[in-house]
Order: sequence, then structure tokens, then C-alpha cells
Amino acid sequence: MADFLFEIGLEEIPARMIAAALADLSQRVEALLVGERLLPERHAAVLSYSTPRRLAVQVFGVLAKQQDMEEQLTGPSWKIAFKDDIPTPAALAFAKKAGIEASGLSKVTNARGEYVSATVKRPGRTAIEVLTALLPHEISGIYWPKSMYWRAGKPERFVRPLRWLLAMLDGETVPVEFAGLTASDKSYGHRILHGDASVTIANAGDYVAALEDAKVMVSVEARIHRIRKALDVATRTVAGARWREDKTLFDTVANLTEWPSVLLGKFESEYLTLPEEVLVTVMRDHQKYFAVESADGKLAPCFLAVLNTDGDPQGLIRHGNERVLRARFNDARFFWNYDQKIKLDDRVEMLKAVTFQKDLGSYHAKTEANVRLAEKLADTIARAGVSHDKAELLKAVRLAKTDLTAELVKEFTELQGIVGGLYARAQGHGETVAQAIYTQYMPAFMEDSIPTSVEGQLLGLADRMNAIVDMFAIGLHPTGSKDPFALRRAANGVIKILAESALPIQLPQLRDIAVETSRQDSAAEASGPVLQFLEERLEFYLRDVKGFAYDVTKAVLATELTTVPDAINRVKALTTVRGSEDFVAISGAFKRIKNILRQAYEKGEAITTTVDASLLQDPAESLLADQTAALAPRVEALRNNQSYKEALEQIATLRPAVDGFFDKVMVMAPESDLRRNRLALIASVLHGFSRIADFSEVVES
Amino acid sequence: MASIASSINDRNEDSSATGARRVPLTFQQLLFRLQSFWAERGCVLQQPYDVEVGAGTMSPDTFLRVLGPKPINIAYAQPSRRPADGRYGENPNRLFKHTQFQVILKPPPVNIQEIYLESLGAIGIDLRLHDLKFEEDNWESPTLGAWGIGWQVMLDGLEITQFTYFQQCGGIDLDPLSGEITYGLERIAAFLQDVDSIYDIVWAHDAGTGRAVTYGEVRLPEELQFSVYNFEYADVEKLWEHLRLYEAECQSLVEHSRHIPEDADLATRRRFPLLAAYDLCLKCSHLFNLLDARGAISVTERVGVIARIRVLAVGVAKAYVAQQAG
Repeated sequence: MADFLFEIGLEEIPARMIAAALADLSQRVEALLVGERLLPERHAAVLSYSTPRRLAVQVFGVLAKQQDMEEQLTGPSWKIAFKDDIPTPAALAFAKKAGIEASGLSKVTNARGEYVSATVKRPGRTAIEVLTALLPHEISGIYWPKSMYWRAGKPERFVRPLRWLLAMLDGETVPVEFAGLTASDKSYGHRILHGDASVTIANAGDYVAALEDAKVMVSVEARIHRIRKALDVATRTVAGARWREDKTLFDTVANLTEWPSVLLGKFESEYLTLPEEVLVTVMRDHQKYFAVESADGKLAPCFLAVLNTDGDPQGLIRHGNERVLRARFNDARFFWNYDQKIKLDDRVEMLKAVTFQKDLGSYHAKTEANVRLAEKLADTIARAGVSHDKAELLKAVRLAKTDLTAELVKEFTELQGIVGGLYARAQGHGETVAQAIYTQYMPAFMEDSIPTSVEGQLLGLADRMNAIVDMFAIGLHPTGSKDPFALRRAANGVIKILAESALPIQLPQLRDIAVETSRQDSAAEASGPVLQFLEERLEFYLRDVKGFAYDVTKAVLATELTTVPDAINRVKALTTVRGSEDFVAISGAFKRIKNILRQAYEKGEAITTTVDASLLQDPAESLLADQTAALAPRVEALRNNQSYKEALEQIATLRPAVDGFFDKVMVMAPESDLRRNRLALIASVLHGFSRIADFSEVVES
Repeated sequence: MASIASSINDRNEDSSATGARRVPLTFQQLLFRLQSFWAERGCVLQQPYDVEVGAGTMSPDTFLRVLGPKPINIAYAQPSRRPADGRYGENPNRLFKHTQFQVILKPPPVNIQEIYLESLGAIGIDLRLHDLKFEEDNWESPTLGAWGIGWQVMLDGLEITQFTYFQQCGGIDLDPLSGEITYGLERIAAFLQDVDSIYDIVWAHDAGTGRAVTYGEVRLPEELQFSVYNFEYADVEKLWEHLRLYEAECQSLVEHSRHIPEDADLATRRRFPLLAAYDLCLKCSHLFNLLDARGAISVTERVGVIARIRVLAVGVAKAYVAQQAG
């Protein structure tokens, strides 16, 4: 048993790609060793390491050599292979293929008769042979979102140029070759702190310690731990201060460093007059600094930079970082002040020069469409008694896109909407308007929250629904993996806003309003596809975001679309009752009813739901008819009350009557009047009780 | 891998007579140092190209030389004009015209990163006292049909260099590839001299009096007047007209080059003025930038005009490759 170490050394890998590539490499090496019988199925965890300049895996308990194997090969039938005990050409050919003499062939008897068999010995190969032969394929198989060529003749692509390979089985080098390099026992340390001298790894197990000596912490977890502690220590120098947790930033800085340390820098408090959002964006997105807040939760005039070196003895690094940040803040302040010269109100006209989409026109036209749509939405919720400020809403919609003309947004595009909201507040437009503009792009992703105010929610809905309908109308709907205008994300936002707000807007109604207010000629034709698109996104939301079962989701979506919260309630109720024995039986019966009705329909039977009581012959069919008639209004009342669980439980009480009916009664009776009446009876059961969900979609678990 | 030890040692021969304190390089010394550094490493030193360009990449010494099989190591300073970035000389960090120092290594040596780090030592940056990171930053120029993979080199949080492995240029896949190193000279000088405004950079010292001549003294009027022209006076109609004229002439040259007979002799092929055609393409690119700064190009038009210029760049690149091969 030996330890195997494999390291790929390369020029700096993009931070965002490291984690996935390392997992890929680690899984590939593990699968290779197990597949080649060099590592037992049950084995110690494979360890993996990465820095910007390397990916590495360490495997313990690797066999030095594969076990020899014997393999039984079956050839032609004995009768064909041997005539009078003399091998025929068929036997000779088989023996040759198996690599043995014909005299070594033996006879086996299996279910189909007697056959020729050969026993082949496969001597095991050493781990070094196997790895040398097969690892190059695994290296080239690593997935990279973007890769490049670097060598003349372009023999291979990789994320960045490879500079060294290290592969060792205990103390022995495994001479893997890839990209013109041959693996050795040499690695390299930190560019500056260690320099260019190679680091010899004496034994595969020494890797972590040897590189630690060369000022490289190869473990990402260890670096994260060190950064976290260093952030704490640095922050402690400011009384009452705390650094702001930021998972994404953490991953980034950990993947940008080999030997991390942290410094605390300061900036002039005068910049704190700029909005926090702007300051944090500059620090986090542009400079990769952690923000610091004081005890009151407000931003402190400090930042934390994660360095790829072991300190800042002369303070040059701190000075340099402070200088850069000051310049960036100066820029931001310049843009902020510059933007105030033109009020948002006056920027509405400027939107005529900003294209939304070439066939749909400018953001000015889009704003007008958004206003029309929002106005109707406001009327709709007003009728349902939801209080809101319509005038303020429409003002927000009119101003919502004006920040696209602001210099600050051109500089920090990620702040669109937010800047508009801040400007609206600074220009005295009031909190309702400012909040709605500020939150218009929320939720930006599925875990994000929705706008807090009704006005913000309506603005978000109007903006997205108009984009969806107009884009569909001019044929720019998403297809397959192509969704250049991010309409799926827009529709996901619509669903999430509807799901988590209290807005009483039904999906078809929302679609209708968006279609009515669109100025596109083909908007009406987009009507069907848009509703179907929304329904798909709702299905995605219920299944992938909320985790409801596939069939339950489908059963509910097979019925009439109402509001999103209503669909959620029905899916929830169905999820609760689906396991009960009665309900399983009922959903089975509904499937049966559906099949019978379909077959009858195909045979040309006219199907109604009007049951003629005088034609009910069997007590079992009378019972079902009576119970259905009695139950239907109760279920309907519960449904209207949105007591879906209770309604479904009521429906399940129909089981004995349904079972009895199918036991005793033949639906497709020879007498046509009886047959028609029985079809009507089961059709009335199906129609009467399928308005919450189509039970026939529920799969028996 | 090459040793960077020598460069880490301070070899700042410009230390003042008092000896102990290091005096940072002036703007022109910075340029000298980079030039001699790269000359010593086998680069041909070229002069800045004399047609307006937005970046050192657009000089034919990069755009055309990275095409085809012929190896080249070349370095040059390139004043780069970006009309939209002009700020009338009022913004301490933004310029209409900045200076790039461009290095092309074709093919890139395996130790290209180490050589680059040595060059930082040569301009007085002791890397042991600073924080250096190579952060992903891929470069793309839709106008030139060119893209590459690489990094922005961050020194103490400041982007000092763009480092790119060219993959495609003029729509042509490159082989061999080229390594491109682009230093932003104003930024680096401001960093070395620790000044907050580009205009305070010491460009040179008067040999007689020792008086400092600043970047502002040398360049401020230019920043102001070109900002005024680019934003206020440039005649949009005439700019469009110039663009059309240059485009037409470039197109007709490219078209002409396609009709050189297959069996034309080498001399006939070689004398065809593709280099002039490329100048015309550069003129178009600059006019586009001017129109853009003037706010005369809508978002919709933008894509279309960029595509028109790309057609020229791609046309010249193709013809150039054929000419070189011939």
C-alpha cells in the first residue's frame, strides 16, 4: 500500500473556477484508481488541495500493483470447434485471439450447450504503469468554463498554461506526461516569498508540510481559517468594529492567495457621506475588500484587504491600497455630484436615447408601457381591496429607468435601480417612490427577497411582464439553452413576487393585462405561449425551489390556473393527503374513470354529466350517485374556502362507494341507455372532484 | 525558471546624491527602464505608431505581427487615445490620451511571467514589500475581431498591467500564439511617485536647475483642448463623412487585394499596400470613438458600426496572412 500524490502546476487559475476543477480532478483520479483495481471500493478519503497556481490530490492506500487476473473466454460451440477431436480453423482462430495454444482450450457446458472455453491470464500492471498511461487523459478531461492554447501547434487546451507536473507514489516518481511536461518530484513555492527554486517532495505524504515550508498553504480550508482569524485580529484594532461576513468574497480571496494575511486600511470619513451601497460595491466588487461596520451597524471608515504575502513591514501595501480606494471613492463622488445636476424627472426624456431592444424601441417607450401596465395592476388590486398609493406607484414607474442615464450607473452597472432609488430619495420624491425604484430588480436570484412594498412589487411585475410579452410578441422567446434577454429569470421573479406577496392577481389575469397594454402588433398571439411560459416557471418554482413532488405539482397545474399562493396551497394539501390509503385508492379510481371515458369517447359515445336517477339499477350505482350528489356541494364549499386539505379528505370518503361501484357494476353495459347513464355518473364524479387537482396525475408511491 | 533574485535587489542607479533615500523614477525614466529591460531580453524597440489608436494592441506592430507563423519580440510605448475618457484635465485619474507600454512575445517563452516580474524589479518595485496578484481578466476587442485570455496584474490593489495570451486576431486563430504585456505608464508612475493626481507626476528633472517638470505641464493643455473638441466641437456630420470615406477606401483596397491573380509573382504580391489599408481601418476606429464620445451613436447603431469596422480589420488580416504566406 502506498500514498499517491499528484499536483498540476500552472499559471494563475481564475479564482471562480478552482473549486469545481479541483472536485473534477479529485473525482477523476479516484475513479481511475478504483476502476483499475488500484484502490479498494472502500478506502480512505481522497484529499485535495488547491491554490491559484496548483491543483493537487493525495490518495492513501494505493496498491503498488494490480492483482493478476484469470479470465474465462467463451468461444464457438464445441461441435464447430472440434471435428473428431481435431481443432477446426474456428478453434484455432479463437485460441489465437485468446493468446493460447489450441491444446489449452477446454469444454464448458452452459444453458445453450457445449462450448469452447479459454482461460487467459492477465498479469497485473504496476500502479506506476497504469497512472503513467492513463492520467494524461484525466488531466485533459477536466472541465473548464473557458480555456486557451499556449503552445505552438496548439496540441492542447487548458485553463492557463501548465508549468509543472508532480506525481509520486510514496517516494517514487510517476513519469506522467502532458502538455510537453514530464512529472517529477519537484513542486514550486510562493512566487515572491519563496522564489523560483524548486521544492523537492521526498515522499507523497510530505506534500502539505513541504509546501508550507515554501510559503504555500495548499489547503483552501486552512487558508480560509487563517483569513478569518486574521480578519478578526485586524478588526480588533478598531474599537467596537466588526467585519461584514461575505461568503462569495471569502471564496474569491481564498482562491487568490497562497499565503494569505490581512491588513486594515482606512479612508477619510468624509466619504461616508456617499451611500453605503456605493462604498460597499467599490470595496467588495472592485477591490475585493471586506467592509467594516461600527457597533451601531453603520459603515466604519475602514476596509480589510486580504494579501497574498506575509505582512506589510513598511506599510507600503496599506498605503497603496488606501490610495487606490481613495481614487475610486473620488470618482464615485464626482459621478454622484455630477448626476445631481440633472434631476430624475428631466432624465425621463433622455431615455429616448437609450435603446431597450432594437425592435422594441427605447427605454422611454418601455417606461410608457410599464406605466400602462402598472396602472391596470393597481386597479385590479384596488378592486380586491389591497391598499396602496397609486399616484406614488405611477411616479415610481415613470422614474424607474432614469438612472440608466446616470454616470454613476454607467460606472457601476450592478447598482442600477439602487442608484435610482437613492437619487429619488435625495431629490425629495418620498420614501414610497424611492423604495419602489430601489427594489425594482428584486428578487435578483431565487434566494433573494422580493420588494417589501406593494408599490415595489407592482413595479417589478409590470417591468418584467411587459418585457416578457413584448419579447414573445417579436419572437424573442427563450429556446432551449438560449435566453439572451434573461426572460426565464424575469418570469421566475414574477412567480416569486406573486408567491411571497399578498397580491390577489391571478396568472391569466396578469397575462391579460400585460397583453392588453402592450403596443406590439402580435401581442395577442403571444397570449397562449406567455401563459404556458409562466406555468412552466411556476412548475419550476414549485418543484425546484419549493421541493414539491413532480406528480403533485403536475396534478395541480393540470387544473385551472389561479393565483400562485392558491396553487401552492393546493400542492401542499395534496402532498399531505396523498399517502393515505383511501386517497391512493381514489386516485387509482380516477385514473380508471379517465381511461374508461377516453375509450368510450373514442368509440363515439356521447358523454354528459347528467345522471338519470330512474336508470340507476344496481344499489352500488345508486349509492355512488347519492354520495356524489351529497358530497359535491360540501367539497365545493370547502374549496371556495380554500380548505383544500379538508376538501381532499372529504373526497377520499367516497372510496367505499367508488370501490363498490366498480366491483358490482359494468359501465359499458350492452343496453345503450344504461351505458350512457353510467358514463354520465362516473364523468360527474370526475368533473365534480377534479377542480383542486387532477388526481389521475398522482403516481402511486 | 529564470531567477528573479537579481531584480529583487535594488538597482536604482537614480538614487540621489544623498544616497540613502530612493528617489522614484520620473515618467521618462520609467519609459527608459522598460525599454532597456525589454531590449536586453531580445525585443526590437519600435517607436509609437503615428496613427491614432485606442490601445497599443491596435498598432500594426501588434495587430499584424501576431498573425502568421513568423516569430517576433517587439516592444514600444503607444500613446492611446480614448476620446470618451477625456475629462478636460479635471479628473486626477482619467485621461483622453494615456501611454501604454506594449510588449509582444511571439511565441511566449515558458517563463514569461517570471520575466515580467523581473521587469517590475527593474522599475524599482521590490516585490517583497508589495502584494501581487494575477486576477482573471480576459481581453476582447469586437472591433478588431480579437480576443485573448489572461489577467490584470494587481499590485497593492492597483491594476498595473494587462497580461494576455492572444488567441485570435482579425478573426484568425493564431498559431503560434503571442503573449502580450501592456503596462499602464501613468498609473505606474503615479504609484511609484506616490502622487494622487496623474498631473502631478514628475515627467523629468531639468538637468541644469533640477526643477521638476510635471506631467501636467507637458500634457494638460492637450487634455483640455481635445476634451473640448471631442465633446463640443467635433462636427458629427463630418465625422460620419470621414468614416464613410476611410471605410470606402479601405474596402476598395481589401477588395483589390482579393483580385491579385493566384499566379502573380512574389514581388507583385508583396508590394500591395495592405499596411496602408490597415491605417485606413485605424482611422475608422478612431472616428468611431470620436462619434461615440460625441454621443452620436445610439446603442443600436453601435453594434452595426463596430461590425463595419470589424469587417475591415478581418479583411486586412486575411489578406495580410495570404501576403505573408505568398
